[in-house]
Formats: sequence, structure tokens, C-alpha cells
Amino acid sequence: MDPIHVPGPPKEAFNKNRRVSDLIRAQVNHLKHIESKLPPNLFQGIPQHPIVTEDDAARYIAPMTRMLRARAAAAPQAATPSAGPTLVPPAAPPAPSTTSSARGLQLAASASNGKSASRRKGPATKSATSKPSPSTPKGKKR
Amino acid sequence: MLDRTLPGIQNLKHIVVLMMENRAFDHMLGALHATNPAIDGLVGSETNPDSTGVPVTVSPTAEYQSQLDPDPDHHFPAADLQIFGGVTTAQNPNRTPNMQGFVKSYFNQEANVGHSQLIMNYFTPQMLPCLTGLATEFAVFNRWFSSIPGPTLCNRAFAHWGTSFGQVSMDVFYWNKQYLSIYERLVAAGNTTRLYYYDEASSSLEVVNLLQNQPSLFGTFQDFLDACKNNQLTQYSFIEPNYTDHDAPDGSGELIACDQHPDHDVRAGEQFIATVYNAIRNNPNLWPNTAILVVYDEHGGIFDHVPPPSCTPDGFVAQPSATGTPDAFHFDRLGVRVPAILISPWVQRGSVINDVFEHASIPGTVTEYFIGQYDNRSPREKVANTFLQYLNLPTQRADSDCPTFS
Repeated sequence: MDPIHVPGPPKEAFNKNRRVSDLIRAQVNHLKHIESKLPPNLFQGIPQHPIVTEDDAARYIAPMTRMLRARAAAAPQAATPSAGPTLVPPAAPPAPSTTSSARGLQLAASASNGKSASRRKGPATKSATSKPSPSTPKGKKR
Repeated sequence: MLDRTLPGIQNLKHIVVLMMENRAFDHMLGALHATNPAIDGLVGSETNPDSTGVPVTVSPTAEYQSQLDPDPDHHFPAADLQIFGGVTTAQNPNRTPNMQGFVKSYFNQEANVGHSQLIMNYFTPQMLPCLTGLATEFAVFNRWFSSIPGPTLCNRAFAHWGTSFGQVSMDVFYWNKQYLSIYERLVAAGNTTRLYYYDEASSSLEVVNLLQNQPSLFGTFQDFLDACKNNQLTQYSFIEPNYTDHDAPDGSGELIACDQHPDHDVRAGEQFIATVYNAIRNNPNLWPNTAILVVYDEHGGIFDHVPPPSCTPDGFVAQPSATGTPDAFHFDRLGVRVPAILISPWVQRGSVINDVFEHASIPGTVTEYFIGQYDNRSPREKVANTFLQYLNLPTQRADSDCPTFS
């Protein structure tokens, strides 16, 4: 069976100045709820710009997510919910890194800029020890 | 009860769920009815009245981007209008779903008759080679409904917790309620699990509940790809797409949203689905041992022709102040139908599944398979159908018989 080609979006599909949807607005509001409970030493690192566009939201969500994930690294024993047994961190998978997301950005769902997905440069091409699978669609940053 | 003697079940080690955003079944897969009548899609004559009473017929002219701007309303009152055509319980206490209010609902947002008709558009299979390819090569669900006739977060809650704890909106605070999430259950039982959000700038939609309280459960999409590559995939993985167009946090480029939420470009989501699939499909250590479910959280206000059925009440009641309608909601009816596809080399090509499913089927299936007997679950989850029995081939399909995407 021949590989099925999946076309990507054109470059002009990207619009970080698009106004946030109700969904992103809700996500930001929930993070604001968390932020309101932060101790002053953590609060100081959180940007306070108005959030109108998707780019605005992303620039706020990223440091909040980093802060929440850093709490996991600092306190690997997770909170214990009242309704169940004591939790322990998942054992088998590698510990996620707060710096690895940047590599993940390269892999999927970026605008094709008119090029075939299979020709796009993925993160593995940046590695000296691995090559991307030729049948795995790779996004690329622009 | 799952037949654990099935070869596909005996081999199964991983379940991966990818939940996309806001597209209805007919909008994405309805055109497949023309080539496979067993798929309950569109015959082409389905209509909805517009605000002037003129019937608007479904049209295979959906575009990847720009038609569904503004984002079609899919909060509870709008979904109620879409499903019941504007008939209220005051007008008819015995009203039944007729799926006749989608154009009216979209008209309410801009008072533009022409634009409101775009809600009836659907994609041709050629425009969605990944989603329709997977639907025809593996198993497509004819009756997978969103759990609530409402928006994203309460519907996603059913995938994580088997209930939304009485919520029908985007205000979701579930921590320390009476039921554990599927992830907490798995960890407590000694299983491995991860929620993978795309990147820090997109993050998770579970921020106030799981990300705040259980951050160690999370990883990025790159972590998922690395886990696949290194044969370290958790037993249960839940993947969230990129929800925004944004610059990469490291400043190295632009990243386009791949969630397919209107008005994001649908092609980016096609590529994202293909990437998830290929990460499993191209690893011989994972492919025979993994079941993938691709599903959408809710319909996004877009037309579907199948009336949602009633269901087992969830034990909660949303009062009129919460529903935004004159009526309370007893969680006794499902939301609008969404695309859902089950993928495994143990699934018969061209399978069409007619049993009713909803998002509570996800924790229900994962709990049944990895944990077994587990009583402290919502009434909805306890009775939700599970889906692993469709991994029922006596022998695994050959590699040459399963598609790859480029």
C-alpha cells in the first residue's frame, strides 16, 4: 500500500493575531485563577499583559505551565486526593523535561509553506544520532 | 465483558487516545456514506431551515479555513437550539430532537442569512485523506456522541473523569470530588499513564484540575514521540493538540494550531493525526500492541443529522441558571455525534460500529482493561459501552495491509 499523502496548510493559514476563542479564554481564566493563589515569589515571574490574541495567550500560558511543571519537579510526590489512595508518580516513562517542548514543536502541524510534508525537516535531522522516518509527517518552523 | 482470549487483546499493551476539537461527524465523515452505505453519513438531501424558513441543503463545499468564523456557538443553549430546532419544553414538554436548528443558531451570531448556511457544509473524503483513510481502513463509530450538548471542557471531563460532576459549561473545578480521574486510578493501581499536551504555550485544558494538582502526569508531544521511539510508551496515553497559533517558546519559528477548532486550518490537524498514527504504526514494537482512538470532543455547533439519544442519568442536575435555558438538565441525554475511529492491526478493515458510545466510554474502557473491577465510578461510566472487543481479528493484519501517511 502506497503512503497516503496528507497536505499541510499554507503559510498564510498561520495567524497568531487571531482573537482567542471561548476555549482559550476559559483556559486563560483558569490559569488566572491559579495565579491568584500564587505566593509572591512565584507571582513575580508571570507576565501581566492583556490577552486578546492567540499569541498573547501563548505568551502567558507558557510561563504558567512551566511554573506548574516545575512544582512537579520540586515535589514529585503528588497531592493526595481525598477520594482515593495515595498517588505516586508514574514509573515507566521518562521524566518529561520542561525544555523538551521546543523540540516537540518541530514535529507536527506546522504550515507546509507549499512543501511536501515528507520533505520537511524535523528535529531528528538536528540530531547526529537519529534520522526521521521517511513516512512520518514532519512540521517545520518558519 | 471483554473476551481476553482474543489474540488482539492478548497482545494489547497500550491504549492511545487523541482528542481533537469541535467538528461534527457529518461535517468530517458524512461523505463516506456515498461509498459505504453502512456509514451513517449524508445522503445529500438533509436540510435545515434558515432564519427565513427556507430549507438549506447540506453541501460538500466545506473549506479548510475561513468559513466558520466566528466560531459557531456550541454552549448549552445553542446546542439545545441546534438539537431541538428551537422547540422549548414550554412549547412541547415531550419535544424530541430533530436536528433542525443549526442554521438558526449560527444566524443568531451575526444575523447574516448567507453566512449562517455555511454551517451545513461538509468535507469531501479527498480533502481529508488522513481522517477518512483511517475511517475506511480501520473501524469507524456510527454512534459516538459527545457526552453533553455543550462546550469543550465539560465534554473533555467525561474523557478524564467519566463525568463532569454536574457542569455543562467551561467552568470546571473537579479536584477532590467523589470520583478519581482515569489517570489517578491507573497510577494507584500500579499502571503507567501520561497526558501529553503539545507544548508549554498550548498546554493542557486540564489546568485547574490535573495540571495544577498532578503535574507529574503530564508530558509534551515531543515526550510522546520520544516515548514511542524509545519503546517507553505508557500503558495509557491521552494526547492534546496545539490549541493556538504561536511562536515557538525558544524563538525558533511559528507553530500553527492543529486542534481543528474553527477557524484553525483543518489540514494542520490532518497532519497531526497522521504524526500520532505514524509514531505507532512505524514502530514494530508498538504497532501490534497498541490501540489508538481518534475522537473529537464535541461538534462545535456544526450540523449533524443523527438525533442524540437519551442515556443513563449521571446523578447530577444542572439548574436553569447553569444551562442558560428554562430547563434543568439531568445529564440524561447525549450531545451531538462526533467523529471517532478505532485503529489497530487487529481491527477488521472497513469496520462500522453501530453501538452507542460517548466519552465516558474512554475511562470505562481503560479501567476495564488495565484495572478490572472498579466500583467508584459515575453512573454514566459504569454503563458506557467499551470498545476493545473490536480488536477481534484472529490474526494481525499484514504491514502491507495497513496504511502509512506521508
